[in-house]
Amino acid sequence: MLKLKTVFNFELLGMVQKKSLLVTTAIMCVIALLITTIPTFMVWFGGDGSEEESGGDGGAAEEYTLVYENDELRESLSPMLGEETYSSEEELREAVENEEVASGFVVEDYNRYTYITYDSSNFSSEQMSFESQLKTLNENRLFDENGIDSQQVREIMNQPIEQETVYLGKDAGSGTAIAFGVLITMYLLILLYGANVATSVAREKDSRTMELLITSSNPRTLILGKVGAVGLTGILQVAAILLSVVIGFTLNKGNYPDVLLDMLQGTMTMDVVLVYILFSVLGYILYLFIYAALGSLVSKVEDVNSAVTPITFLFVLAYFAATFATNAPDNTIVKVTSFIPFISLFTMPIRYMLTSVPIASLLISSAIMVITVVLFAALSIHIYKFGALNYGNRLRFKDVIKSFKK
Amino acid sequence: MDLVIEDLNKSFNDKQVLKGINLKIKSGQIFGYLGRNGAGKTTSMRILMDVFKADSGSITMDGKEFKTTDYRIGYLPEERGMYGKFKVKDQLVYFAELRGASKKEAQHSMKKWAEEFGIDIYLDQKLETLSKGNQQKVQIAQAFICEPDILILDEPFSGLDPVNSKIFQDSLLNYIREDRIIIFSSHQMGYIESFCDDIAIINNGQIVLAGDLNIIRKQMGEGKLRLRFADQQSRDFLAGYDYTIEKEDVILTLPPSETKKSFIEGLFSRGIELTMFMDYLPSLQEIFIEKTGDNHVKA
Repeated sequence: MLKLKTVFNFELLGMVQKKSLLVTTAIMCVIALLITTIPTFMVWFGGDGSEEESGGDGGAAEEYTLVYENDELRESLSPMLGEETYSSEEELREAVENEEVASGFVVEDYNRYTYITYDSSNFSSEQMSFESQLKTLNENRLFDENGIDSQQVREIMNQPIEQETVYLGKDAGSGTAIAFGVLITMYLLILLYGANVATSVAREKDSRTMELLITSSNPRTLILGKVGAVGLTGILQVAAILLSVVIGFTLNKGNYPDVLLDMLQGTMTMDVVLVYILFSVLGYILYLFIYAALGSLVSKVEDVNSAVTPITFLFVLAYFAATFATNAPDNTIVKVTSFIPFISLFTMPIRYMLTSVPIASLLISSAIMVITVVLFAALSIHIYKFGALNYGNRLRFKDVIKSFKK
Repeated sequence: MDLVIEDLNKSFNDKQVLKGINLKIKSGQIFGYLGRNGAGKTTSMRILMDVFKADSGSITMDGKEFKTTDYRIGYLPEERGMYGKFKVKDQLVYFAELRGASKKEAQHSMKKWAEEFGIDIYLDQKLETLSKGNQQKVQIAQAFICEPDILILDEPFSGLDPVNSKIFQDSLLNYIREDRIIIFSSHQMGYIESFCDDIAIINNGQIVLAGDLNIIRKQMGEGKLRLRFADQQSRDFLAGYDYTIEKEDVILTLPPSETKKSFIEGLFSRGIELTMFMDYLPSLQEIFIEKTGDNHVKA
């Protein structure tokens, strides 16, 4: 126990002494502060910016490149749609081909037109807006012809519906942003610190420091101390950044739009935070142990990447499953994966926050997670012990499995 | 203190690395442990340090079961390395603490051995910024730190320049005490001959020779003589004898039918003049080659 503390302190010292770590943490804290201050900046600089933007889709029509098929159309439509740009369809085609204009419309009738463009893109907002405008004009014309007051018809058709939704369970929409934020944070944390712990183990082997370590302490102490210290450093780093977010948020809270406030505060209840912490920390530890064990299988630092590929691959899959879960937290796949420890670290908290999860499911998933962490810690200690003094060729899994039989 | 290893066996992947090792290592002297590469030296040392468990066999200290936790063990491995990115003092204290010292004791001992090896001015520097020679001194200091009860040195002289070698030799000789066991493993026979009283030679996982080096040399030289003739022609007398020539000397194996006395009388009766006549004592190198060389050649 005493030695564990010694190893832990030493490893922590090694981590904290890294200038790169301190600098990146500081930079990320500053970025977090800046991002949380964006609403305040928007209030300072762009007070009426939103109104300026909305001017575009009002009466003053968009500038279309137009050709009217006949004089009647030209006379009745040009005050609303705009003046003719080219006198014939051929001229328009030529202009488009010569790239003088990107596209243009040939109005053939009140309810028929040809759109001429060079390359077809999937979606043309220009065409859509033109079409809707033409449609409205045609409707108005028909109303007037039939002696109906088009103004009145418009008013009747545009009656707003007032609505209010009462969520008895959970509101998935408002938590998605947070789910995604935590997901990205955990993803980066595990990838960065996983690689860190694997490299650290491999470096001890590479430099033959392992010879001294393994003869003056036991493998369990060494790996526990290392995983503990590296793990804590990661958590501290995240905590520092999170603190900056909280500080930034608190300072600028007054300038946040209500919608955003609801999104941030509505879903973050105490139990959600606890579930997040439980699963994130356990999952993090689980991955760190595996990374440490894999790091001990190679003799050179440069081989670490290939050694950790399998677990990184699994982890990236878990990440994709989780991204899917943020969009469809009720999906069966998400439910199933929230019981698989390597993935549940992401999916269970997301499910818990965005949907209603029975307490039994939560407990079962937590139990599976805890048991897996303990099992994999034991397995990692074994692999580490086996790998620590094996130099030369990279060890294969079958060698490790063979070693169990003893 | 008597450290006794009995009938130690160890296999890796069906390959038996140690085959019934027996060793008796006494405190108050330096024990020389010899063997060719891959003979099983490091494996047996690692079992002693509890890195591996033996498949069978026992290790006792003064008759009681040997537990690594009851003793401080200092180790200088053949392949050395420490943390390049850490300050010298931090890692020396760390290794001392891993060995069971308190923080205070570790710091005190760290200063003492750093001074002994002349690296005290580098304590606040990162190891990787030191010259190779100074890095070696740090590694040697690491083995001595906190005065281990058992000091295991695997090829301690490899890579040391003559000056560092001398510093290390002096420290090693000063370190001998009645309550300390020192195990010295090396290929450099000269050092073993000059430092060690008891030796053991391991070959293919078996101890092929063990005991007091002086007695071993006498035994191995028994029935052999070292002669130096006054003139080369006199060597003709040796026709029919089993002998080898070593520079000016003749190393002769007496046939069972003859004694030293009868042999020398035979020389004198023919008027052959000798400038030297003595019992032959083989060098450790010769003993080592005799005990470990043939088997490997045959294999």
